[in-house]
Amino acid sequence: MTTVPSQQLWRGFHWSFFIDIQGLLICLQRFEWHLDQGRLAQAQTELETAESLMLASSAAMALCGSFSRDDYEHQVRPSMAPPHVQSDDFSGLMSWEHAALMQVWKRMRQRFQNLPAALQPQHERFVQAYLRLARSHRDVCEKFGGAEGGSLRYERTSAVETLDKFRQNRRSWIDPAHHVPDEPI
Amino acid sequence: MLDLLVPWELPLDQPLAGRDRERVRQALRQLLQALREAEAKQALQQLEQALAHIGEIPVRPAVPATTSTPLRVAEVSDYDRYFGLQHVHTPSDACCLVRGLLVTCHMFLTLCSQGAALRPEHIEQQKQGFRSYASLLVRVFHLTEQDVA
Repeated sequence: MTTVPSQQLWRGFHWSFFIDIQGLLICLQRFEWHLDQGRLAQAQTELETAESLMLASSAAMALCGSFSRDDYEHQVRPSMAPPHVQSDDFSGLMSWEHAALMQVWKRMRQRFQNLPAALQPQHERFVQAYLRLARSHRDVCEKFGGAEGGSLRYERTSAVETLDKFRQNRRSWIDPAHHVPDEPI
Repeated sequence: MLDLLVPWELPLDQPLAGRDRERVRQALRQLLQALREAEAKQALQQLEQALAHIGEIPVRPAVPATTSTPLRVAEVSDYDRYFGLQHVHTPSDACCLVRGLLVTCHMFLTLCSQGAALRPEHIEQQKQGFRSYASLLVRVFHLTEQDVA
């Protein structure tokens, strides 16, 4: 087996993440549609798909970070700064798929707050899958020194603290009633 | 390069007919077959056959005035360029979507087969994600599980 360059792993496994997010955009909007029509069995199916894609996103994120901290600091991180990119605050937040998904989650807050009882168990599994994704992201960030330094975009706060704040916000959209207990950090 | 439909233009429910239906059906069947292969080489060959069968999809770059999110268009362009993405418009949304899934799966399996210390549970979890996405597209395009078995 050959050693895959870290940048190839970073970019290549990100494609899986983007496709997972694309799938989440489709199945969550279908979930809303079925829910509005009272089709609970179909809504359940879409939420199961969302759980699977969320877990896949968690795995993709972990795979994206499958190289050393040294490689991240000397190969990958410098590639995300000018002149290699235009933005001097290049960030994962600049993904259009991700930004669109966050809009969809915000819009769905009311629906998640008032779910029929029949959908609540699957909803809990969906939220747990999100918490695993958030954990996975945190782990990769910590591995690459995110507990010590700022992120690409938010230099003054540690990257891990920034991710913890994001997790809180996003969790408030998809689990507004806080049905799922928080994981210990 | 990975072609992606504009996030706000993804098909959510789109019955297919004729040639597009057959192209999508065959591509999803071959994708699911590839994901069942134990050997990476066979899986990649399956995906390459699927890509050859679905063929090139005519696309043109999407040039939006706005992203309909807090992101500026320039930010999306910068990000897309870094990751080798292109957001597109196409007369064949269904085929473009499925082709993107095939291309991504091919990239994924290629990386998995080339070394690096990758955890098997992560690989399997992402493969399950691809299977779930394929089943989702079966529903979106009004196919059946038998159509892609």
